[in-house]
Amino acid sequence: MRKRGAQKVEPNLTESSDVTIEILLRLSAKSIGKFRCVSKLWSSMTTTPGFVKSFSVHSSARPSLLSFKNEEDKRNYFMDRFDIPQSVQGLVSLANLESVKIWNPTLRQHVTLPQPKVSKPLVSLLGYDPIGSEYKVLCMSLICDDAREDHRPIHCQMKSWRCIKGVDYYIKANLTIVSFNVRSEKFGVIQIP
Amino acid sequence: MSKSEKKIVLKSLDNEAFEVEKAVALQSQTIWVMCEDKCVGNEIPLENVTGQILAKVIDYCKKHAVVDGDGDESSEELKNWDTEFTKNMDQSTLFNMILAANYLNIKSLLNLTCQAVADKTKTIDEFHTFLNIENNFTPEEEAQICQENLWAFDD
Repeated sequence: MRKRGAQKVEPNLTESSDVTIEILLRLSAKSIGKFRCVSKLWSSMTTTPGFVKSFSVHSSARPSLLSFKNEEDKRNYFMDRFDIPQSVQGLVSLANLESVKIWNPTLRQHVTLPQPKVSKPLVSLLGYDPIGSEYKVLCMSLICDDAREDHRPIHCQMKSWRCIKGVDYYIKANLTIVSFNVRSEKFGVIQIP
Repeated sequence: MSKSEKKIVLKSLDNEAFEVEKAVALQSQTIWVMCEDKCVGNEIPLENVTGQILAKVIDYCKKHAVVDGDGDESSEELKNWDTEFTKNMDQSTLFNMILAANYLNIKSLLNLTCQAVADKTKTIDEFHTFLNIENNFTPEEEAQICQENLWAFDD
C-alpha cells in the first residue's frame, strides 16, 4: 500500500481534483474568471453546473453591500429608491416604477433591462425556471386597462407574492390567488379554500 | 472504560507515534469509521500524513475537542485561534494540511485550510507554483477564453 515509502510528501493537488475544487469554491468570482484562462481542465472544472451551483452557495455566505448613487442629486442611497428587492437564485431584481435592474452580487455587475412594452408605472417580478435554468422577469402595468385581459386581474390590487417551485403567486385583494408559471409563462387562478 | 481504551495511537507516514485522547482523534471521520468497524487496534497507521503535519492536525483537533466538549471558550476565541493557526503557515504546509484534512475527513479543518489558501492566493502564478498546471490552450483559444472572462480582469 505504501507508495512513497518514507519520502516527504510533496503537495500535489493535481491528483486530487476534489480538493482543488474545494479551494476554487472559496476564491472570489474574479479570481475564478482569471483562473479559467489557466488551463482547459480548470476552465471545464469551473463551468460545470455543479460547480456554479456550489459556488453560489459559498459566495452567498459572504455578504456584500450594495449602494446606489443618484446621478441627479449626487447623494448616496441604500435601496430606498427602489421597491423591496427580490432575490431569486442568486440574482437580485431592483425595480422602481420606471425601470428594472438585475444585479448579480457574485460578479458585482448589473444590467438595466430594456424598457418593457407596458405603460408606466409598472411592477415587475423576477422568477427562475429550474427546469430550463432560465431567469425571467414579468412586467405588468399598474394602470387598469380593461382591454388587456391578461394583466387585468393583477393590476394594483396585488399585495404580496412569493415564488414556489417556479410559480409566482399573487394575492389579490378579493382573495383570489393568481399564479404565473415561470416555465410555461401562463397565468392561472387558484381559489382560496 | 479503562485508561488504555480512552487513548489511541496515531502513527504517521514516517513512523512517528502520537498518543491522543480518543475524543480528539474521532473528529476525523476516517478514524471514526476505522474504530467503529474495529478494523484497527489501538494503533492507527496513517500512511498519507507526515509526523510534522499530523502534529499540527492533532493540535487543531485538541483545540476543537476541548471547545466542543465543555464550551468554556467562546466561538469568537476559537475563530481567532483558527486565524492564528493558519496565519504563519507557508503554502507548502497549508497544502499538506488540506490533503491531510481531506484524507482524514475533518470537514472544519478542510474548510479552514482551503479558505486560508484561497485568501492568500491572489495571482495565477501563485497557483501555478503549487498545482503545476500546464497551460494547454492554443494562443487562439487563450485569446478567446480571456475575452469571455474579460470582466474578471477589470479592476
